[in-house]
Amino acid sequence: MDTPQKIPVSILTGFLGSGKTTLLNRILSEEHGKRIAVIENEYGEVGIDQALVIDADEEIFEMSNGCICCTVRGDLIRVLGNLMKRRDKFDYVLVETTGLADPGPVAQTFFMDDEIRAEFSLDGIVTLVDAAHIEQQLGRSKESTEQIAFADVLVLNKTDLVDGEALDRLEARLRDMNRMAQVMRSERANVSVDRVLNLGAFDLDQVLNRRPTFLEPEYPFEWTGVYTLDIGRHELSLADGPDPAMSLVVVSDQGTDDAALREGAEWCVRRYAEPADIARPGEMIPIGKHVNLQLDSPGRKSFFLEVDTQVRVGLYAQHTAEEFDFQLTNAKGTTIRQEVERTWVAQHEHDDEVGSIAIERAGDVDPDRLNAWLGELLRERGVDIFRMKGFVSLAGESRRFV
Amino acid sequence: MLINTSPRRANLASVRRIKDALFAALSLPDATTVTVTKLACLEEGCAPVETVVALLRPDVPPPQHKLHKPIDDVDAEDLRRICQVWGYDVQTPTLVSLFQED
Repeated sequence: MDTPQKIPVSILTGFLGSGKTTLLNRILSEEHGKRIAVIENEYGEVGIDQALVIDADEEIFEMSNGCICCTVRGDLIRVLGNLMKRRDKFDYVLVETTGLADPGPVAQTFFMDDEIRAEFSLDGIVTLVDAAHIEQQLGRSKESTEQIAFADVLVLNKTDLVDGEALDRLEARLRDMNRMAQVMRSERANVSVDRVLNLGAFDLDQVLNRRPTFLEPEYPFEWTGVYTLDIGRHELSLADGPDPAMSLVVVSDQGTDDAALREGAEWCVRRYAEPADIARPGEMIPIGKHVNLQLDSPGRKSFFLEVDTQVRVGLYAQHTAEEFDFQLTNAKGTTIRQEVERTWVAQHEHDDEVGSIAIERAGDVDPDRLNAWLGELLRERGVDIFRMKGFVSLAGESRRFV
Repeated sequence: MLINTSPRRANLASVRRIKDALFAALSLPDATTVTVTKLACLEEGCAPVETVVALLRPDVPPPQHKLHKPIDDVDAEDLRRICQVWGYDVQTPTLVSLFQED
């Protein structure tokens, strides 16, 4: 049987006034060659044309199927069913939710009926965030938190209304709440259409293409440089940088290949968990210990490293060498260049009720055990989980599962 | 199974047949939705594959019925039982004829 391609669907969500209708109009008016059917709960203030627009009343049903309890949108199943009869009229579907909607039932609808599953594929969830008001909204409404937690793309909109420092803080907060989402900034929802449609958010290759570090774990440090030191005293000098202090662990006998760097990184994670010794300018940096360099005085600051044998060391630093213009010199004043450097995905503080957890494991997964674990996790903690996303290599299966 | 390696697309015709038969047998209005889902549950005592059929009507909690068999194996007698559980009295021959039309 000839099986036609599934129709991709994007869900557009965001709190009231975040700019959903503006983005929708931008998508519909841009030349992208797609014929888009729009399903929305309410007609926005701005008129929408050039598209098939279908009004849907929100009809939420709680269903309990097997181990999984979920809510689905009955209206959406009907609307999608009707759309299928006009399949030749469009090749993309956009579902716009109301500002107060929980995106969960909308997304779950695409997995709870086998006809919908066979005809449509959920491409991604795009959440608009009003940069000027989201902080208040997050404190007051569960829905705005859920909209952020569910997103594949977070568009931080109305950035012209907020200063740069506040934006950086807000972006860091959003990233903590949802590590998997791409974050982009815009003023009047002016993001290009190809960054919000056809995301293939459930496609491993596309995800890795956009974010090569997606599968990398987070570390409490951002940078490592490997240097060979001769016997004697060395000076590490740092210029003014973005922080008044910086954590550092110096690892001795450091290898230069990726495996050695990862091994060093794992060892340093444990050192970073220990309380730091304070090191002031002019003081020694002990090897193998967590130190906190005090950098609050103006101008370049020097610290010292001493070794009694020639050794290769790894500096695992909270910030990159570039940010503080690291310079390492030997007793004769000769600059020592790093042999290898690499950056890591930096860890952030988690201060919201919602956060992300990543589990990484090499090798194949036993499908029965994975299913048993998922079943138990959903039974015990299902109500606490907004979304799970995984790239899984199942034992005995040549395809990759997303 | 939560992670399932078998393709789901193959059941599309069977899914439509179940939905169409129920719509016709119960004379369901347009504002009603029937969902059909193949599921597996890891609970002890559950069949490995279940077919869950639900009737979504506005303002009423959705009645559901689980058949302990795959979608492709659902027959007219199963549909009669679903109708009965949902409070409709439909005779098997009616469902047999609706179910065989295609």
